[in-house]
Amino acid sequence: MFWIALRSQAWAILGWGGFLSLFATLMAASYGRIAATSSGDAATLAQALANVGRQAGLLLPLPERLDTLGGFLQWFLFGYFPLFLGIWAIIAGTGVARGAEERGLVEQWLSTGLRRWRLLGEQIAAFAVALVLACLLVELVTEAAARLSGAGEIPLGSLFLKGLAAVPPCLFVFTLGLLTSSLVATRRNALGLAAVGFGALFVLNGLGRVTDWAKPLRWLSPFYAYDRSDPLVPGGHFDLLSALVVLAATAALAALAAWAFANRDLGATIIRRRSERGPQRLPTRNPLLALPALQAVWEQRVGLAVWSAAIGAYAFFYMSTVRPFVGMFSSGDRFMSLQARVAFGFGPRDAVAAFVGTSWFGAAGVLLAAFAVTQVSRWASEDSEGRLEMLLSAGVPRWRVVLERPLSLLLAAAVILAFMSATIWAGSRAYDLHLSTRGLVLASLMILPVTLAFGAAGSALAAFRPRVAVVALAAVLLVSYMIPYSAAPIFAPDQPPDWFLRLSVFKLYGIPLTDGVDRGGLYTLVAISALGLAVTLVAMQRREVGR
Amino acid sequence: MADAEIVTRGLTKDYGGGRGLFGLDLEVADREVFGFLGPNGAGKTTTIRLLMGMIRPTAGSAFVHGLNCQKDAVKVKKRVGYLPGELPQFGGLKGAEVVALLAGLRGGVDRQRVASLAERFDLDLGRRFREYSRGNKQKLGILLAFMHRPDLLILDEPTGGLDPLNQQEFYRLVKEAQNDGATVFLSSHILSEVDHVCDRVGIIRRGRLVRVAQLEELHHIRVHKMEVEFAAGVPAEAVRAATGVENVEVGDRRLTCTVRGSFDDLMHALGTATVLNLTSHEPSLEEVFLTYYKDELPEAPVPASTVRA
Repeated sequence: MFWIALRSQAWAILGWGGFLSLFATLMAASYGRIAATSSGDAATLAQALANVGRQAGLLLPLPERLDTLGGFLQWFLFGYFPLFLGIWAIIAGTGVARGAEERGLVEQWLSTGLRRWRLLGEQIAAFAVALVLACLLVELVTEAAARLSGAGEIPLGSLFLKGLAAVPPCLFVFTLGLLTSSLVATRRNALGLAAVGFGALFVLNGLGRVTDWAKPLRWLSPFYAYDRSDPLVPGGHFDLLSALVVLAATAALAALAAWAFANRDLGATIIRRRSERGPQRLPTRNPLLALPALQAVWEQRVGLAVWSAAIGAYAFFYMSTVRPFVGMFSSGDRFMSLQARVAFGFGPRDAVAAFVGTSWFGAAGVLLAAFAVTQVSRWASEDSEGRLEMLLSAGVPRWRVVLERPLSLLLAAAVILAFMSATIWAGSRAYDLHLSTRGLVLASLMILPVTLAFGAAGSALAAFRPRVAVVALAAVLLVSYMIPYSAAPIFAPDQPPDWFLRLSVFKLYGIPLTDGVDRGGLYTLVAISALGLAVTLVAMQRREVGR
Repeated sequence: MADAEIVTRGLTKDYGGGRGLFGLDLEVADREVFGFLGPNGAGKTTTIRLLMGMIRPTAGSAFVHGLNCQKDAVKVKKRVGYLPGELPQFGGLKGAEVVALLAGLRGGVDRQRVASLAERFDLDLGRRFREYSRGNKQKLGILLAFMHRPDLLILDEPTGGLDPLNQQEFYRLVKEAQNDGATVFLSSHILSEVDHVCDRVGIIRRGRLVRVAQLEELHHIRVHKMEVEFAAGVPAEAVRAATGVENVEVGDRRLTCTVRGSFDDLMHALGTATVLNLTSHEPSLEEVFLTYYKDELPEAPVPASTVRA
């Protein structure tokens, strides 16, 4: 079972390890260029970043010795480990438990005589190994990137210890996913519940860093133990005792998860309610199910609420960080000024509006594009799971299916954007940031063409290669997002060439908050959407449907 | 056939490597219950999906009520009640929501008709689709196919997963639909099932139609393997002389034979002998084909195991 479990994590090891390695390469290279080219030196950089570090304490550990490569990486690279690896852990934890159960795999494994506690134990062990392997990949790449970019040398042993410190808290979160899988009936709900638990523990640790009232409670979060290990800075250490305490807590949680798993029916939850109602014979009267496009939105109402709430909450938090960041980028440092111009549109515009218009609405474009990717994945699975065949058999013309899908995408995106805009507006009032209401509405509306372009391109790809479509779109999305932020470090001290910046799809969005509609970009996005839909229409008319 | 509801002319879907459907010429009359019989991988599902316009023929054409199944696919589907071989995954939707969704797409579905069908099959529409057992999913599929009282029912292995009581309920439903004027085209790999409900039967093997037979001929085809265990002597000669009894083999207080058609003569032949045990097996379709349609089978051996049916 151990090897099966480990093998099932192979792509995740490569995916998460690869993503963090890319991030690590960028960070190491950035440090090398910044320290070498900024007007001051590493100390100047440390001073500029220290202010940001204090403001970002909710998300990242408090920075230490930012004048050293180890301190910079420990804060800005390894600081993100609990977040990214924690997300992986809850996805994996609920996936190997409730997800595998939904696919009938757990029943198959148990039918071989495997004990339930052993199944969970081996899954935990396999995930621990997977975490270590992914961290090792990142550490090796970081070391190589730092050496090759001239950023400096950093002992591999220290890197390994910092990565190792991330294993116990992430294992705790993985085990939390195993437990929530016994508390609720579906993988999606188990993931949601585990995400709430993970978020609460993560935020508790963050609050403990920046507020006095939460400091005494901080030890309750397993991520506190991670913060206590600082082997990358001079004089730092790996806190073995904290790691062991978290491992003991993980063992207790695993025992609870194993007890719950052993004492419930497969497919059921540990808390089983008896149904008191009689059988229902009539169809529901919900009118939304009979309306084209709206039925897809209705079906995803829970997911939409989660997306809206998450983006809204993040938007409000983001607004609290705007002034310190704008202050940092306006500091006059050469590199910071370049980054401010290239990535955040500073210069002729109002700095606050430019920063929000690029960093927030740029990120919002990415999030909505990611939402479009999830919808493309849903459309692809509609075919593979036979739903498309069923819809067509009800006499729905194929062209209607092609047009309804992007329409439902736009409706769902509009719901999320409306919620997000309202939160940004409220945040701007709360933090006394002067942003025009008209600009906010326009900036939100202009995200719709970006979302539609991703959806339409995705539906065209999915018509030919459903499995490739999601991966290809996600890659375009990630690269497009990274281009403006990586341009300054890559081309510093020179201005990045315009052709490079235009490689990003999000460049087509422009900065509508300050500059109004980028007509060229809008027309291009509309053209991409129209072409995508036209290709999908032709492909859908010709293709064969069914499993 | 003057008033044929389904007509296919040289209908072919060639997947390569000998897999698919080849030159199907078939006519199904209005108000007829037509059984499409064949082993797994024979091409039954391929035929049904061609009729539904889900896949495109390599050659030939298919018509439903005079409408071309490819060019007029939407009009065809409006007339049809369809049960696919594998039900789609509706995940977290409740049965009641699945019905409302598809009824909304079709329009004109009577809620009382839905309630009546759910009652007949004892199907709780208040439960989520993923919580349904295989049998309940199949019941929901049957409900979705019948709920709008279609002119034509195309049903791919409709009784899969149903218990015997619900199978009987399904057979009654098919007969009622026929009496109400509907045509039914159903596929199966079980000989006794088509015997229950069908007027005529098309037998398909390795992508080719072997024969279209009346029900009487089907009765002739239905051969049972019998195994009889006696307390003392075996009445071998009497059994050999019985009408419809063939392939008689006698062992120590044991007799095996095949019986075609009625069992009456065999029962008389057993006479006063004391029978300790008597078992009857229906032969597999493959055995029937090899026994009765040897000369009509496709010439070239082709791999059929991977063809979906």
